[in-house]
Amino acid sequence: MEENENNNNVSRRRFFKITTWGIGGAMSFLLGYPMVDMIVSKSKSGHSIPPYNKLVAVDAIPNSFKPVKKPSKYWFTKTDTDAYLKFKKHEDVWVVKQPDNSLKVFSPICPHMGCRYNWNQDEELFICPCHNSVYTIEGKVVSGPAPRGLDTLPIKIKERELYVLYERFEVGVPQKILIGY
Amino acid sequence: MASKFTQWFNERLSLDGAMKAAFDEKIPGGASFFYTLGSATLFVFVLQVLTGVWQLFYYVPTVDHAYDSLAWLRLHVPYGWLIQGIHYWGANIMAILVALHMIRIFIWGAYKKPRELTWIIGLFLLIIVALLIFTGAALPWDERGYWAAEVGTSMAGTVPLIGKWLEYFLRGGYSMGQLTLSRFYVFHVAIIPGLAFIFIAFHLMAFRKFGSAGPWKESKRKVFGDFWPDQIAIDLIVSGFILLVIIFLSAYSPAPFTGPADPADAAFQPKPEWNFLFLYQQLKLTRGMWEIFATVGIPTVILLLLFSVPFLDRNPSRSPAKRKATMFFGFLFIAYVVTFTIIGWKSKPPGSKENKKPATTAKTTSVSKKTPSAKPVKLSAAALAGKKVFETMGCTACHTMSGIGGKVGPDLTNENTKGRSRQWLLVQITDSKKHFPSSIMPDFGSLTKVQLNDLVDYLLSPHPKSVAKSSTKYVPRASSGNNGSVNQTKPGLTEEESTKETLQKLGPTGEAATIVGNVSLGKKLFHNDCVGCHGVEGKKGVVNPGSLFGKVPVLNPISKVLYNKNPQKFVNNIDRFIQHGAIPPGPHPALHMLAFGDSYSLTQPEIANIESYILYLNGVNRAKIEAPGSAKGFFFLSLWIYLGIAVILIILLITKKRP
Repeated sequence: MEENENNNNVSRRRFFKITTWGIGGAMSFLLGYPMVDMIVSKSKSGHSIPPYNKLVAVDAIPNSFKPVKKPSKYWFTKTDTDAYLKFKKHEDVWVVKQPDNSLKVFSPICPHMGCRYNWNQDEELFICPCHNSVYTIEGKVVSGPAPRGLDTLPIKIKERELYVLYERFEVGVPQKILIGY
Repeated sequence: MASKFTQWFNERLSLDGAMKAAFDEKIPGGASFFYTLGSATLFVFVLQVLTGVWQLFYYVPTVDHAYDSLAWLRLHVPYGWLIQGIHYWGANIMAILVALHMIRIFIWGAYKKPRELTWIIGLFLLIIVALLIFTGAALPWDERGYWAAEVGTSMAGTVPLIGKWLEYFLRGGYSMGQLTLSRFYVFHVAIIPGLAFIFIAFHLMAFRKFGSAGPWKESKRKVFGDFWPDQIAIDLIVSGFILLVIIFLSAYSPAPFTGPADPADAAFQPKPEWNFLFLYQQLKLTRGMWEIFATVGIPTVILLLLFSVPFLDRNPSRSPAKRKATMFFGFLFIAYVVTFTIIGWKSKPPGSKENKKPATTAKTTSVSKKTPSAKPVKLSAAALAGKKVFETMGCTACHTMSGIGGKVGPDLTNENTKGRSRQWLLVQITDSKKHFPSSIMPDFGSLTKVQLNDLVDYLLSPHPKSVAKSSTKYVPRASSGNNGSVNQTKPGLTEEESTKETLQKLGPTGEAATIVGNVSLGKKLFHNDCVGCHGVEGKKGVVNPGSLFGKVPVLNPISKVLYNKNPQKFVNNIDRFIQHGAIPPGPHPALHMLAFGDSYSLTQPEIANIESYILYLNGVNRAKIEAPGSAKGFFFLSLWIYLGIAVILIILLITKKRP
């Protein structure tokens, strides 16, 4: 008689424990999975590719090799979309007009760690102040820790005007991976 | 192995002791579903903390971006809709659970000696919950939250002596603004939750000191049940069910996008959260110096009464049957709160009927029947010709005359009484900017001299306040053949190509394109500002003399060039028209799309609301969830998981019964 009651008691406790773990587990999953996904997965932005930005008249760009090696820096205003923010900002790019008059536009971001590099007129080289990555006027790495050469940006020439699409790339890797605009 | 590990811990932290203190508990009368309300409230509180902290990954407490950041969280972040939905519905469910928990304690008489302090600490938690709901509602800085906070802080201002100081303190200034939001934010995410943690700890400590009160019948209390695992399992069944309900509500009834806070907006009718409706309803019944009774007096009395419940009800018996007076007053109080809540819920501000149909003010038939004095006014021949011009050249799209017409421009019914000269009116019609540099009125230089003179004659004639003839069609009805200047046969350009061409020339999108607007507010605005030209529900464009296509474009269905399944792309297209306006192709189009954004005649939130409405008319949901994770799919996933567990448990129950 007493043993039966004890047995009953044990199986009752077992049942309630299984209930607790079962429902507790389900609730943890239903809350835990979305919470992790929310901060780990990518947001779907819905932003479209922005338009090309008008830079300068092609004929107004000086030759970057004569009389001395010297790239030109041009500013433009672009509309940035950053998550739910939308704002206008100034951006600049380096433009190199080669001897055959073809154009190359470099992103101003050093592909090593994302600093902004400068043109050193004495050395006639691009030098990044952060970790001394050095590039030629063609964008090739001369020395320093840079994993790849300077990033070129897509350009368009319409009615003798130069347009550029401002893109950003992942830094610190040898490949050029697009991460934003 | 495991035991060695736990032993190492126990020697240093006494986890076993803590577990024993938390779980080793006897319940007089055994576990019961009635005892789950407190733990369910605690569970929802934990839910609120988790989802609240998680929202902070995306939310920013600034007046210009709080709303956008939450819209971003809800529409673009994976499961953002769920986390936000749980927090929104969790707050509502928590208020209900707190009320049920209190009623349960009240009926069981569980506040009686020695548990008076547990009841009192619980009341502090009630105040904390109310403050959390009040401060939390303001954080999205949408229409609803903004106005609730405005009214709430104004009510704080009616407190005697310290009122004005309190109002200033809560707002961080004399008026609502960024500092108000910052303050509400800090209260909501740091200070009040901190207090909640402390009081919850006290509440649990006081509860544990004397344990569960058990049934009110002495005899039933002699049998004991286990807290772990019996009561815990029952608690989890209830909490699990509540979570399922909250997920269901988040998926099927998400919080509405009420549009960002717009202090200039009088169209929005603020009402407090339902939890505060009974106080709100009382406030409407009091006037002048009595107001303070509703804002401060009654809430204070209610709280004092609740605090003194354990001391007023000194009957040693806990059985409700022996506490008839207590039960009577208790239920009287509940009836009072419920009644006032329902009245407040159903109430509408006076005149809200008119607000609902602002466009159809032409429903003046009843008015004119009551006032037979509205005799037809005799017009001269020239004025009659001018009337025709007024009605056919698009003036009524923006101007009201005798109660009929649009609301974009001023009402011209009493123009004859304003002392304007003929010359002034002629200039106004042909070059409005000369008088009002920021005017958005198109120049009607395309009218002939005769037409202009007739029109001025008409404007300077007396007009009845309303027309007796019942005509809801206040838009010009002239057939396009009436006007010789309409050039519909110009070959080559189709309407689509023309729209495409105009779109290319227009400036960039404005701020409104990034805001998720509210459809019903947009509908109101559309009726005020847009139907004059685009027709009711955007279905019928009015005649536009002098334009290539002869009519104002229909918005429902909208041109294929502008339509897009993607709400953001769709909005980007129409936003540029609403911001910058557009001149339709043709020799002398009488009507232009006005630059509502550039001219500041509509605020950006208002434009966003109108855009949401136009999208809605075209079957596109502006608030479409873009992030992965289908809302309804997730609910069914939850449902299947629960059902699966239920099936396993039922099988266990059946097999257990076998000897």
